Amino acid sequence: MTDSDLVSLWLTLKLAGATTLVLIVLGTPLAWWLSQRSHSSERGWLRNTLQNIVEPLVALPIVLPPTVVGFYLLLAFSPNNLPGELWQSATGTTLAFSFYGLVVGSAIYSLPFYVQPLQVAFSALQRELIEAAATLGASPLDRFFSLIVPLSRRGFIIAICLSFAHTVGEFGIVLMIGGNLPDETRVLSIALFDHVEALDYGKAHVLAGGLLGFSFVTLFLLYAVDRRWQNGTRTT
Amino acid sequence: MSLSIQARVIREGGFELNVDVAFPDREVSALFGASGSGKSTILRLLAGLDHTPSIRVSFNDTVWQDDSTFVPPNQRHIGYVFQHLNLFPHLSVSGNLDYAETRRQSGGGLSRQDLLDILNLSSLLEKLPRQLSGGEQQRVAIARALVNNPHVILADEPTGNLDTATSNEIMDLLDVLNKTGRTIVMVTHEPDIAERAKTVITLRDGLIQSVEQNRS
Repeated sequence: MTDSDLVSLWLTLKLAGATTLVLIVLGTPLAWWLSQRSHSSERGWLRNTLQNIVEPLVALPIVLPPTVVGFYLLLAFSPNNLPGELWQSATGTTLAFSFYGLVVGSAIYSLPFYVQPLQVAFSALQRELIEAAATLGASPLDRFFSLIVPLSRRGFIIAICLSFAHTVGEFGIVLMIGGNLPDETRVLSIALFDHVEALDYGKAHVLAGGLLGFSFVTLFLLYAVDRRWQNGTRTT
Repeated sequence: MSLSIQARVIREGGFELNVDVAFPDREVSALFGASGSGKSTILRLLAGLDHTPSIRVSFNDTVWQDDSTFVPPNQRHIGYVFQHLNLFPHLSVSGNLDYAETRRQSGGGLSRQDLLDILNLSSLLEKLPRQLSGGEQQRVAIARALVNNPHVILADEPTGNLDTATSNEIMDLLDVLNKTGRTIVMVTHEPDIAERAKTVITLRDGLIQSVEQNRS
């Protein structure tokens, strides 16, 4: 692995870590909100309607080509448009072709991989357990951290692993909004593309094999942990 | 001075609850009636577990719910024994009791050790709920509801999973708690359990059919 590839590896891990952190902070409340369907036809109408709209929006990156998401993000990041203008006036820099821009794009692109497993975990929680915690004096925030998080730990682990691994494997959206800047936006998948373009298959093999191995090991461990969890729940 | 509720609630499906009742302070009251008569609904409204509009719930001088007020369940200082117990499955017996005890809002009352002794739980502390029998789970649920020293105890079929001897022990415990000044409202469909209460409120199809005072 070349020095440049090592920089790309560090950048990739940094991007995946930052994206996962952003998703934990923003995706967790979103997953919770989506999991709380109102059963009251009068009061819950507006919320249910909003949820019906937001739910497919969150899932869109699964079916959309990354170039579509990247194209619209590139437009949004332009200083001529409000998000880009706000960012530029706050930081003096542009979001497009920057590491922070990549984090925003990756968080949006990996959103369903974080939100959906967590939403399923939250929906499966027994509402009565949360009510029991309330009668024992736990406030809503207290209930979330002391009961809902530990009871949903399987969903959290799946969500965190999937969004981290998915960010490591991103290519199209990174190319669209990040370009190919060493130390800034050239992540492993882009570096691999460079090696293939240069017909340097030896270096390409190292990166491609590494990414393949990483993805396989991540999923292997995830399935193993999930199996063990399910067996543990059944037998003990 | 009492725990009182005035509610007219119409549920989807046509069930209507229409009650105006006061549960005497520092006494054991029983909500008695057949399944579907509205007993558990009243208990949930008293606890604030169902945020239903246009009802009034008050405890002594404090309004817990009316058109402009809603005190959430975690601020009502209640102990609630659920019909389905709702022990936290990832916590041991000890962990379940810790959860309640660390959120205790006032001192006094029975200590944790008192409850462990009365309910014979000392040997079960390290076990998870799924490793306990139904009766053991019931005893843990009762201990957990009482360990944070609530002012009001709401119990939904507190003897539901217990044999006759243990049911009597639980009722004796409720009597002990009552003597320490706790207001207790329990839901039951068992006449012999209802007889142990000072006041028996009989419900039928969402309406109060009778309010009787037992001699004790």
